[in-house]
Amino acid sequence: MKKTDFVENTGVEVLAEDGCKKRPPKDNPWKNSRLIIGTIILGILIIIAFVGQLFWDKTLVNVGSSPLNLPPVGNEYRDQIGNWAHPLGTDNSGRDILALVLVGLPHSLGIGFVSATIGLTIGIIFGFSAGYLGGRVDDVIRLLSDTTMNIPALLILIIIQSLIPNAGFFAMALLLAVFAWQSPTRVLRAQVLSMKHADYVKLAQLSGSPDQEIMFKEMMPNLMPFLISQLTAGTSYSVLILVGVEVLGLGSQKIPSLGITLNNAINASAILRGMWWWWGIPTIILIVVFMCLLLITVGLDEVSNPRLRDH
Amino acid sequence: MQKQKRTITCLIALMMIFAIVLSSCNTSPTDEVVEETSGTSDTVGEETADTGTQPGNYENATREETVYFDAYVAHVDHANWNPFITDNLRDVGLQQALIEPLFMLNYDTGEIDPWLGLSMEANDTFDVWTLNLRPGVKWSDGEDFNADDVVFTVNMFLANTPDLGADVALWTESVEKINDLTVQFNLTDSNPRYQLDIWSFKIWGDRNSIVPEHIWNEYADNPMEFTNYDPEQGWPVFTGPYLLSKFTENEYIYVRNDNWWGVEAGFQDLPAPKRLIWIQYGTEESKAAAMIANDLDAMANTSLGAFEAMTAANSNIIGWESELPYGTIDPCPRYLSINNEHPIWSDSTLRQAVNLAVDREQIVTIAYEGGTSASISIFPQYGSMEQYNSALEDAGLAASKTADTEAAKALIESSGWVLNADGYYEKDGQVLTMSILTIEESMETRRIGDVVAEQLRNIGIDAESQVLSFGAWLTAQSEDGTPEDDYEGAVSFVCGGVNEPYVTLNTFGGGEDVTKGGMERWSGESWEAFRASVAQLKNLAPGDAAGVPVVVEAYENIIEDMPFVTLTQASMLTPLNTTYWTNWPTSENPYTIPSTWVQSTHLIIHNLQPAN
Amino acid sequence: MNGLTWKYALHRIGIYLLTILISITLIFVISRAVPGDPIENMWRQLEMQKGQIEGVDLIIDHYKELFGLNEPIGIQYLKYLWNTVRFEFGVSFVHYPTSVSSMIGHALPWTLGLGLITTLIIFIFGNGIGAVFGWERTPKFIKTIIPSSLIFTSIPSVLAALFLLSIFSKNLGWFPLAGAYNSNVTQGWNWPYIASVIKYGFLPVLSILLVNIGWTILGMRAMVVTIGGADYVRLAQAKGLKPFYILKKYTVRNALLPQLTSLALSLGGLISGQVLVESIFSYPGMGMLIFRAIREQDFNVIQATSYMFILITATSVLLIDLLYPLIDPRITHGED
Repeated sequence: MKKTDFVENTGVEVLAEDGCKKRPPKDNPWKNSRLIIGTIILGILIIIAFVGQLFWDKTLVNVGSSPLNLPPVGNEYRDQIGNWAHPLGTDNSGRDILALVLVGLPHSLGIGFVSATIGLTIGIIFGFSAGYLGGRVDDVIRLLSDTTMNIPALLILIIIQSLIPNAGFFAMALLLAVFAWQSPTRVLRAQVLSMKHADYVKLAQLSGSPDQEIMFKEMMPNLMPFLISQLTAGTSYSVLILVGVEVLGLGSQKIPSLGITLNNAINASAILRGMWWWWGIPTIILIVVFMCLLLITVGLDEVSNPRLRDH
Repeated sequence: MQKQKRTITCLIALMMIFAIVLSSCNTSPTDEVVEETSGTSDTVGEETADTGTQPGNYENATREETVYFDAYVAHVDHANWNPFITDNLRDVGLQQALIEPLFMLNYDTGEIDPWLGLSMEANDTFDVWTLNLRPGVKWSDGEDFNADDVVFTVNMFLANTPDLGADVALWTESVEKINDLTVQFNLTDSNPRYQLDIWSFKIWGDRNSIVPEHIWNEYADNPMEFTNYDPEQGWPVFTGPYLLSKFTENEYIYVRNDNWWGVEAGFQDLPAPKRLIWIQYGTEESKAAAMIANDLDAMANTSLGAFEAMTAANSNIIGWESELPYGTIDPCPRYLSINNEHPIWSDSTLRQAVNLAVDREQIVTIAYEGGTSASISIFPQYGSMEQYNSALEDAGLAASKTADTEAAKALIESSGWVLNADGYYEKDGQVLTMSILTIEESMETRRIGDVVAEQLRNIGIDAESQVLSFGAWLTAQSEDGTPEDDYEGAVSFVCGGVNEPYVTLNTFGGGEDVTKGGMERWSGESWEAFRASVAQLKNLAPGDAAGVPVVVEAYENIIEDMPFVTLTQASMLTPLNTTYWTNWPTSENPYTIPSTWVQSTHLIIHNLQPAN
Repeated sequence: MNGLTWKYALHRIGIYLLTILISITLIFVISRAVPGDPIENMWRQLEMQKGQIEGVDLIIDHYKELFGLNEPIGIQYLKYLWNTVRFEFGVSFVHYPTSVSSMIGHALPWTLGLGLITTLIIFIFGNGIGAVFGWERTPKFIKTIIPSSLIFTSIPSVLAALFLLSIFSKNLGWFPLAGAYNSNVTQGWNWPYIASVIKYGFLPVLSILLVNIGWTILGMRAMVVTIGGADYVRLAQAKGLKPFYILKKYTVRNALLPQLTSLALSLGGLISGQVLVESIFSYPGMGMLIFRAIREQDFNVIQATSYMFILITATSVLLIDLLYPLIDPRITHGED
């Protein structure tokens, strides 16, 4: 729940004051270096993963499909020399690391994105309702989000895992969405509260527009960049939970993923054995992905909040 | 600024008050006790290694005089030293250093070696047993260990079952003292395994430890409420050659008792280590690092990869064997459990096909990286089991090391299954699937599951492995009345007979009023025949040669119906460090098994010699 | 008008109590949702690891009866509610006859110590660095250095812990591998003990710190930038006050309040991150306790530890909500 709180803090006053009135006319806010760099690197990673899947044998993720404990090209480990058949090496069950990464990365990112989308959708509905309608609705939504935030996520995940062992793509995304809606709800509620008194909203109210129309036709468009930044922050948060769960050995074993690979590496003492490629490559890729998502989020915040831009 | 500061301070103060209120809810003597015991140690000066630490000051023994063991489980209530509680207490030194067993099973010879007991004999019908105690045994407070203690303890079990001594109460009608060193047990029924199962170290420890009457008599009616801990009075009192010194959140420290009974009684000399420490590290990496740094002398089970890394970094670290598989075997061989009531897998032809499709050598190579051996049968391959395993081999009933995929496919096809476009067998629109349940906590079962699933996919069975927590794994296999929703397969293990096949076989067919055998729910004609053989075995003494043909007969029924598929021997790879201590048990010097969490560790401690 | 009205306070406390009630009910339901019976699982597992136990069925029945697991679920729930309210947590199933409150009593001080220290460091340093990062006058090169220090932000805390452990404990040997203090020292208020606690706690604290501090830094930066443009800050600049004085007295001061709110909200996340870190360092805190209890289906322990977490997070949010209007009179909570 942590990562989007800072957005909440900044958003409230800014958008209330000038966010909806006018944009500084000088430069295009979307030409944001952080946003661009983040998007490009992430895009390249995703393209590599998808294109790579076409050219690389995906069945190499299977146990016993390759020699065991092979180091990456140009390295030597226990009398075995890395070769181009397995450029990133293999693990202790004969799985090819390159194949694991190519299959695992889009999978993890996809789950994170879908669950963040679900979370954001719920967040928009709840956040707008709570902020705009207030009163009892606000109380109920507040209660719901506080309650779910209180229960240790680990407990829920471990237990759900044992109920739905080999959760597929969408089941997993839905599971993670349970933790992905509270933060957008909270943040949007604050945004809506502050926009409620803006002139154009008041005007719409006076002219007798129905609540839904005001909420989604008048207020939503003004929040677009903000919503996208919520989406990337949410994606990064969901991927973080997903990887965390998998590192604990709780994810689905059916589809190979970066987290499961890390769990296997940790369980097999890969660090101790000096098999750095096994845990190091997935970790570096994860760090790069998280950095990109962070850059995009920060960049988008700067788009939606002119004051955050570099002076 | 002022206001905010106050708010923060206020918040923190509130949280702290909250914490203090919570932690004061309980009164735990641990902290104060630790303070006292360790306080005394400060008054005595450090001794140099040359002269050795003097008696009475062993808690300051040097590294050379201390053995560090791996406490692989967590004991929670440190101030409770009641040996009957279910708190992992026994694994952190209690049964290795303090509690001595009456008898110990020798895995190599299959014999039951004496310790506190000298011998135990049964009448012809195995329903009256006479226990002869070793003369000269004393409790650590100097009192005699004698028949009165045994009678008291057994009566305490009988009065408080099933809180403690459930198995004793199940078999024992009454107990009487014949003389100070002789006790007679009158059994409820004939039991040729009474001595082995109830009064000996067999797999982990002698659950039913004898306790001193003069201390426990006040608690004869509510023994579970006795904490058995009072350092002022020297509690806990047992007969072992060590005394509890102190403990912290993750260490248990024992010091040698130079007045141990065994010296005077001429049983054995004092063990060489002056101090024993069971220490708990978080992860396998941490344990391995401690081994490499010579901070740990014996580690619980580890993986082959970690072991190789350790030996590469520290050449003083050894295993049971000096080459692959390095380890010895665990008493619980791994097998593929199949649900015999599953709509598809109730067909024994398919189970036969799985047996043919499984390449046991490949499982060993990939899942174990060579660190174990393929199973001949469902029994562990200890020296004492040799006669049964070789009889099975002679009868052509041993499991094959490699796969015969063609024969496997032919068998599946003979049952009416046809390969579909995806390369999997299909019949009546249903694909031949097997979801193999593995245990999340056990990397070994997970890796076996992965390999077996791959092997089954290769012959056209759409198999996948599923990881479940132990509880869920167990529950998934238990019956809930709807066989069609039940499990298909699971990587499972059976810990039973380490010196005779009866206990293992009984798992699949035993019990008075059962209609099907084991988790596999095996039933039918072969099962009935199998049960008859098991019933015959039940009445034979362990190791009786007359049992061998009966075992072969029973096994013929297993092979005929294939209710489960034997896979591999479980590996037990325990790294031992020879930097400070030598004469650890190894395959060349197999005086006991190299596990340091079970009660046979007494033997290791008595055998250890300082390296210098 | 005063920011805090009685009506608002009562309303807020009402929601607080309702939140706790629903949360503990959910905990009750969720912990029982796992298939299987805890007593049965525990003994079967013991049997599988340590050899057959004759009469195990009798034992299992006995303990189910003893722990009240044979009673109707409704009765169990009502008893649970009543006991929880009175802080009566019963005994641990797995570590019977140890009482749950004594287990928590041993573990809670360690966790609170670890948690308080990390929270304080995150708050002080995170906001300090964040303010520097967001301040207009900070040299450009410092502003470029700071983002690279955020590289650990958002990797799972388990991984950070493993990294630190393998580098500083295993390879360099600077810190111990596991535990909370050295067994050679005497527990109490003496320097060797405190030093040992600090040494053993350093890496766990650092692991949680590294993955969490980034968000505080970014949040503070955003706040400082936003407030830096506010009218009253411009006014202060126009008055010719020293820039650093403005940063301290105007900007940071006003930015800290919302940061405090985020802190309270993120407490839950901090705690659950700590759970895993504790298990890696074998740190004897609540994290280890809850992690193991979930695995072992030790209902009483799960319920009690979760209850502690729920109380801590819910109470801190409540406090913030109640204190906020007192501190910042601009915020009112009446009817709109």
